Amino acid sequence: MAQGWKRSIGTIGGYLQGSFRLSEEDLTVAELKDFYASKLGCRLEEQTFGMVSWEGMLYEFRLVNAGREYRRTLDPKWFHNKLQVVYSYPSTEDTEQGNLAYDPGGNDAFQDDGQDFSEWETAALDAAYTIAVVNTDGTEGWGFLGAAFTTANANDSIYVYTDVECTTGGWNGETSGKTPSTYEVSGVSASPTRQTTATVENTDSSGEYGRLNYYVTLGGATPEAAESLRDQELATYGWPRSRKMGGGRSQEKKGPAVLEVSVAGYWTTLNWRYRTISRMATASALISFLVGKSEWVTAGRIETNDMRTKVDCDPIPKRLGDAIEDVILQGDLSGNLWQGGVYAGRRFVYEQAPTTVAYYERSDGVLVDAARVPVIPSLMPAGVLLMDEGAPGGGQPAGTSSVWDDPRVAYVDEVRFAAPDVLEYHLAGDAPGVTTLVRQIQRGSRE
Amino acid sequence: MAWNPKAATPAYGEVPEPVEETLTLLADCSSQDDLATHLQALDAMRRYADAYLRNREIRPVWWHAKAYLETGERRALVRKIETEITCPLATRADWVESYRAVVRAKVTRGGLWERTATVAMPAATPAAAAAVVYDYTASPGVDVVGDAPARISWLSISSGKTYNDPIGRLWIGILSANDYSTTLANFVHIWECEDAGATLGTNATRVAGDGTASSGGLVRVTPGTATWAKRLTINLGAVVGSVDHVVDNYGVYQWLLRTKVSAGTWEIQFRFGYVSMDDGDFVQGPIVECTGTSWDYLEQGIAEIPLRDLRCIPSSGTHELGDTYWAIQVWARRTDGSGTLDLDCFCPIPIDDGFLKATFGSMQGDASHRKDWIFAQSPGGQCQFLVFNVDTASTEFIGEPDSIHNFRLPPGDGRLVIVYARETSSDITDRLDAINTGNGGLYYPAWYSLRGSE
Repeated sequence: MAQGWKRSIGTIGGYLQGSFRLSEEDLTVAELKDFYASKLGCRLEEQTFGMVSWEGMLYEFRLVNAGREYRRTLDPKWFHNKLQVVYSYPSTEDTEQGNLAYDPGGNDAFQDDGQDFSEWETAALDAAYTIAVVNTDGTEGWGFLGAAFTTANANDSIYVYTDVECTTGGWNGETSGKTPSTYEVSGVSASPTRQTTATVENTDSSGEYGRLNYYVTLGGATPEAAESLRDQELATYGWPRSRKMGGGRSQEKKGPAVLEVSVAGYWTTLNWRYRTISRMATASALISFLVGKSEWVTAGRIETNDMRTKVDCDPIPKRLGDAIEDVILQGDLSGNLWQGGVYAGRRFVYEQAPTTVAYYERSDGVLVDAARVPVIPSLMPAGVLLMDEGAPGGGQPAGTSSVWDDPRVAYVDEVRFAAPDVLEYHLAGDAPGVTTLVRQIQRGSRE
Repeated sequence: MAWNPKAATPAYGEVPEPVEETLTLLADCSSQDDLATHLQALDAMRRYADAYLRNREIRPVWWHAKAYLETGERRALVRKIETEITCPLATRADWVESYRAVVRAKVTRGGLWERTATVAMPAATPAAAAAVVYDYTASPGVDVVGDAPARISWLSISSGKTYNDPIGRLWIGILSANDYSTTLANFVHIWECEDAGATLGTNATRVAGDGTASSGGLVRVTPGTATWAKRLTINLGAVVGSVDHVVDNYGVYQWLLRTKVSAGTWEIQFRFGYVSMDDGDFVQGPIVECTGTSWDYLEQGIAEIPLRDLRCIPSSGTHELGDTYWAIQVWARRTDGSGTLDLDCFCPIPIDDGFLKATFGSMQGDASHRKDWIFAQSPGGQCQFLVFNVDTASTEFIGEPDSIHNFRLPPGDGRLVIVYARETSSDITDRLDAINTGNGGLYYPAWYSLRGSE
């Protein structure tokens, strides 16, 4: 029923991506719509002779029906249910100390009887500081600070202006009839620093699809504006909603309804989480630690690698998958290549790249294993050394016995399988843009 | 009026692609209404053929055929009918007034012709074992006829009344006779790890008298060397009855290992090669983790006997002797805890002629309830199974196989190699009530071309 199934495996990431297609030729439109509406995020498993040879989650749907196109996706750009906004804003100088009151003595001013405002006063020229007050009912008032004065205690009050030039006394926002609850004083022209809003989460969504963390980065913004954006963002992207593509323009119906399904290996979900604190450890310990922070992936076979490594997550938060990839790419103290990814059972495997040839491409183009038995295409792994028996040989370069230096040997860094029997593999070290895919088509395991 | 049947192109391990037949029919009717009735019937078949493929609760449209004077009638599934209807005469007025029509039809049919009647598979009651072999040709004593793999219409495996064990998983491979493997009785479906001919490796010892193990014996790897080490080697010659039996074990197999740990975690890897090869030259199977403290089967990878291309180096007396040294090494390392690793037996499931794995809810019955696991395969190739309580006539589970590859019966002599287990463990005393009893097994012999002789 599913047509055109294909998927890939990489040395970094393990099970990477897949796709297939459902069509009105096999299912009714109602069945296609039901699949579209209800199966996003479901687990997909490819089995070969009873063994799991690939697995992932239904990641993105594209439904084309009657000239209309709709999409649902788990891509964090379009779906995130737990987020913060990172923005630049001067640090808060101080907050409430005592009893608060608007307009002490009938002036356009603010009083905190436990505060000394003289530190932030501006007697002339433009205001250097601003004050933002949150009222007991949640409304806010804000303004620019002028000169300090005394109401009950020394300099416990300060004049407030609506403009930075301090020409019009009074408040922005709502203060009339309000009772101040909290406030903060911050610099107007002081260098802004990186601020982060509190986290908000749509727990219903994360309970159903898993938690997708997300950071929205803003330039200069006030805390309340950052929080407003954060809340808008969660309301807009908190569910993997169906989106009509093409601006609502219907097209003439062409062909049967089709549902294109993209599948992502569980490595993808590592990048649904962020790390904000840097950490240093041995490579394998760091891998285990980072994998342990994932929601979907657990540590499987983590081989020991004692090289000291660090992930730098401050000030810019780093996605778990990116951090893990950084560690993998650093290899080990002996300069060996390492590989890692998420495989069957959502288990993470981290190991040194092989040092012996396990597969051979015969001169007739057929891929065989070390016993010269043709490989079953769907069971071909990535991260293996392949000897091309038809390659121009030459000898091993002088001074090395490493199989990596054999000109006939290459490292397979990606394998792509298309059902029922097409296998392509990509060799490491090829320049981007150069087609180096070698294709093997087998019937069963007997060609 | 005219039809020259086509024959599908055989493709090993696959059902051949559908075939397009073209034929011309003459509707020679008694009236215009009669002609309309016939043409409408043809259109109904066109619609039924399409609806059946879409699973719209319509019975299949069959193309029945038999060559003149041949004895056997055949049928093929009709997948699509395209027609062009013309009048045998020339003018429009003739068409309006005619009782006749010429129908040029292009019929897309299934690639195989099959017998119109099923063949029954015999009933069997296997004894408890780590793996059982079922001879579907034992009675009435005839091999599968035809020249293409036969569709299994119905296969049932029962539990309940006598042996009420909660079977929840099945691995089934098809073993068939061929030019090399002619005496299927010589196939060894259980390789005991404690076999006297096995060579023990690092920290491995034989343990006897364990009733939970196949044949009461096992190999125990004690917590000594925790790193990767060769723990056990078994070669083909150690398990076959004689050198002559080697060829009867040729084939491609999924190797199951019955194993468990006492605690902690072990990783196990099968390596395939010949005894005299350097360890590094052995073909390495997948690394499989074992954490279960109850016996269970682990899938240790696929390997072929022998490890050479028989097209290049065919079998001969000399090479059969050499093939007795075809061997499996069991490598293992302990990654967590301090428990022991127990190795009971290997079960090779033949996969090159057909394979199926199914996981389902338990089909545990009791003294008054027999439950059948029933597998069925449609003419269009769809496969499904269900667990059926025969005594209450209720369906308890419906599913598709986890994995299925060309699960059809090759022509000739053959066996099903069956490994069964509970949902998460294996009990060596578990046994099946019966195979193909009550809801008996049926298959349809198949041919590539339309000739009726058998």
